[in-house]
Order: sequence, then C-alpha cells, then structure tokens
Amino acid sequence: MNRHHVIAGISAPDRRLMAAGGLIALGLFALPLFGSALVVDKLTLLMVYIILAVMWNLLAGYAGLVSVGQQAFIGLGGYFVLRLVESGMPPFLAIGLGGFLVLLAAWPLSWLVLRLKPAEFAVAMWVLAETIRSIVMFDPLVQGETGRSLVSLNAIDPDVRRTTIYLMAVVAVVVSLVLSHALLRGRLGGESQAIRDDEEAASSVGVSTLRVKRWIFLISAVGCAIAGTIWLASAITFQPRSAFGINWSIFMLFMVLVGGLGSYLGPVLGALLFFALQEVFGDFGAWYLAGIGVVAILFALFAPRGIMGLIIGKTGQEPLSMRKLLIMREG
Amino acid sequence: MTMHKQVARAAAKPAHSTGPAAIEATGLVKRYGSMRALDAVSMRADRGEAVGIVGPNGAGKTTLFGALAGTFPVNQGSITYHGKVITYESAATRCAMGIARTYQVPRPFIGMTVFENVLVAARAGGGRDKAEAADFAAHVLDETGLMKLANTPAAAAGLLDRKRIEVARAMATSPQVILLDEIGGGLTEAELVELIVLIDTLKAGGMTIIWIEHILHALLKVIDRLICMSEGRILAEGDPHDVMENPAVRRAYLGSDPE
Repeated sequence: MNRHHVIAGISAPDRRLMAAGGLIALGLFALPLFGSALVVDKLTLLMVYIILAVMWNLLAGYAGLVSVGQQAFIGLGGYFVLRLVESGMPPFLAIGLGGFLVLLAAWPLSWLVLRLKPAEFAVAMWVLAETIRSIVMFDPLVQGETGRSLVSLNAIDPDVRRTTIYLMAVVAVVVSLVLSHALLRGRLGGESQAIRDDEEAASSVGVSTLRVKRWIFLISAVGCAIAGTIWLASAITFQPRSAFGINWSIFMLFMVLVGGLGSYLGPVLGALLFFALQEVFGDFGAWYLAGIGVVAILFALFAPRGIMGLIIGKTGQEPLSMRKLLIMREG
Repeated sequence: MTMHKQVARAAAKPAHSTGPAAIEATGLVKRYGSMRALDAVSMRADRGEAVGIVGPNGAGKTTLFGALAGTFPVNQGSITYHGKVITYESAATRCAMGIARTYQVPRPFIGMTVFENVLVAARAGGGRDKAEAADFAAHVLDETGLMKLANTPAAAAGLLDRKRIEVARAMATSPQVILLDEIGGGLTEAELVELIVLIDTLKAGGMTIIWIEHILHALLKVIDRLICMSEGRILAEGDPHDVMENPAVRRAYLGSDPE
C-alpha cells in the first residue's frame, strides 16, 4: 500500500505565526534590559492574565468544565507560598513549589467535583473556593481579613525582584502555551473535546471520561496556582478576600468569552483586550467594571464567538487551529 | 430463568454456538422508579451471529443496549462477554474490550469534524496510536461513505450522514460486538440497500451484530435470529420468520404498529 492517510501537519501560515510568537517571547525576555519598572510590572500582570485565560479555556473551551471557582487555586497557590516563605524557604523557590503543592491539593478535590453534572460543577467550584478561603482565614498567620506580606521579598533589591518575577511570568506563559498546544494536538485534545460535546457518547467510544477530565482539571489548577503565586509575588501582600476573590473568575470568563471560547489563540487575544481596557479605563473605579460588563454584552450580542469568531468570519480560517485535518499522502 | 432456558432451547441456534456467547445477559433488571424498563431480560448473541431485536416503542430495546454497553448500571442481573463477567465494567472499558454501540438519535461530537469524530474513537476505543488511527479512521470513512465529508464539521451533517457517523465511530473502535440502534430509520430505499451491504460486510468479517430495527425487511435480510421485546420482557425469540408468525408477537407488535 503506497497511499495512506495522515493528519496534516502545521500549515505554513501557522508556522509563520508560531515563529512570530517565538520572536515576541524573545523580545519579552529582553525587555527588562530597556523597559521601565512600570512597564515590567504591567507586563507581569498581563502575563498573569494570559496564563489564567489559557487555563480557563482549557477547562471550559476544550473539556466543557465551566468553573467559577478557579480562584480556589489562585488563592491557594499564594497561601502556600506565604507559608513556605514563613517557614524559611527562599521566596523564589517557594514560588516554584507553590504550584506543586496545589497539584497535591487539587488531586483529591478532583474526586469530589468531577462526577458532578456541568451546572453542579460550576457552583461546587465556587463553594470550594469560598470554603478554602474560610479555612485559610483561620490560620493565625493570615489573621482573617488582615492578610500578611511576604516580608522576605521586601528584603530583596526591588529591581532584581521585579525582573526575576517578570521573567518567571514570561516563562510560565511560554510553558502554558507550548504545553497546551501539544496537549490539544494530541490524544487528550480530541478526547476532551468529545467529552465537552457529549460525555455519554464519548465514554461509549472508549474515552475514560473521568481520567481525561482529571488531567485537564489538574493542569488548569496548577496553571492558575502558578499565576496566583506570580501575582502574589508582585503584589507582595496576601489578602484572602482578593486572592480568593470571585473577580478572578469573572476576569477569566470575560477574557475567554470575548477572545473566543474553544480556540487556541482566542484567550490570548481576550487577555490583551482585557488588559488594554483595564489600562485605559481602570482609573474610573466602579464604572470601569460596568464598562467591562457592557463590552461583554456587546460581544455576546454582536460577536458571540468573540474576537476569534470575527477573525474567522473575515479570513475564513482560524489561525493556529487545533483541527486535525485528514490528508492523503503518496508513497 | 427456566422460562428463558426453554425459549433458548427451542430457538433455532446457529451451528457455531458452542463455547461462551460473544455477549450474554442473564436476568437483567433496570428500574426507573416503579417502572421496570428491563424486567428479567436474558439474551445472548454468539460469535459472528446477527441478532435482530424488534418490539413496540417503550419495550426496553434501547435500555437493553444501554445495559449491555455499560451506559448505566443495572439493578439486577449479570452480563458476560466471551464468558467474562463485565456487569460492573465502565462503558469505556467495555468499548475497549470490543463492545461498540450506536445511538438511535445520533449523537455526533458537534464541535469536531467528521474525521475527528472517528479518529477519537479509533484512538480511545480502538487503542491505536496516532499514525495508525488516522489511517484506520480514513479506511472507516471510506467504508461508510463519509470520506468526502472528512474535514467538514459534524454539526453540518444531515440525518443520513449523522447515522453514518454513528456507525463509523462504532466501527473505528474495532469492535467484536456491535449494537446498532435503529440505524435504518429515516433512510430511503436506496440508502437502506447500501446500509445492508455495509452490515453484511461487517458480518462477513466475523463481527457479532445486535440490531434494533423497525424496518423488518431490512432486518430480515441480515439476521440469523430475532428477539421480540415488549414491556421490558422478551416475548419470543428464535428463527426470524417463526417469531414474526408468533401470535403474541403479532398482537404486541404488528397489531399496534403495522408496517
């Protein structure tokens, strides 16, 4: 047999996009050499947003797991770092280890929530986040609402601290984008989409639905935790109300829905838009939140598939699509 | 139980029915509240045998498929596959072992292309690696007449093509037992002929087929044995023509739903 069918490789335009992405990443790594402290700080926040959007999209857009409680892992990541640092661990090591500890915590929790139906799962995740926050607030170190600062971070030279945290954030973004790309192109990608579309039918074509959902859930938990530790490191003060705030979920929802749910690049575009809106209108206080709401409504009404939907409408194809195309090859 | 044995003994069984059945259910009970969707159902299909199931709506035919495929647990009874007890295995495990099913109302993965629908089945249920799965999925698309739609969204497929996707997805898991749930419904006469050819090919390849169908003439062209269900029980089973002549079957099935 000299003709056979294969899955098409990455297209030429997508390769160019990936190369451009690589150049942007290199530029971001070099930025602290010439960027001001303010720019570095702002971009660190943008990186946190991108990670969160990518993780939420992995959950909701590819596995159909709509969560409004990912702040459980953002807050928990921050809390673990605080605890580790207080026990004498060097802060940057603690930031790395925080994500791993959240993995250990999320694993048993996955048994509780993943058997639930979609709507129950969404609510259960919120309840879980609130429960974990309440427990954390009992810790004398946190002192309820008061919170606590990562004092040992203050001891480090501010420029070194800022640059290190920023570089960690860029690495985390690169890793989450590369990892989720590999994941979605691979077996887990197809299986999770099958679960999203019809869980029962997925199990009857042999997909171990719980195993697949657990993988996605754990990856997303760790991703959110890492974003949380980076955010804490740049904000320095850990306050349970903000670290475990429902705001995080609202931001993630906004970024992914406006960017394009279930597309690879959509969440990144959504994070960029969200960041830009925050930069321009952030000073208006509560009005800024209302403005975010208006933008979300406008998208829901006029571009329900988000920015990515608009791009597909214009060009006819999705850049960096995770579609597996069947092609015939000779020889 | 003894009733069933008598019925089974009276049934015209094919010559190759020695050894454990490909799939066998014994005393299956499935309750929904006070309603017994399956009321002590026992049935078997031997290797390479094609068994048809008929019965009025609500007879428990699709529920039987759900029980065999592991879509939901049964309240009582046991299921064996080539002699091995699988009563408590998950749907995914049963699929990997070689039991595939289709759905009466097609349930394609609508966010994926037709090829991706079949590919995920070839990888997950069929246990094939990426390169092998792609080629095998293409082969299945060819056999089911879906090749020209391979890279189009499954959401855009019409009813006939959705039924084809159901069969293709099941075939892609490389099953030894395939449960077909009314795949002939809504098809034109020409399409039915194509379908019968396809099922005959599966049968010739040694696959065990259990087929629920209202379109009797299509069913009778393929099956070796016929089971008639009514109100969660097996009313009659055996040689297809004998079963159709059975007065109880005519009353329960044909009387209420003439062809």
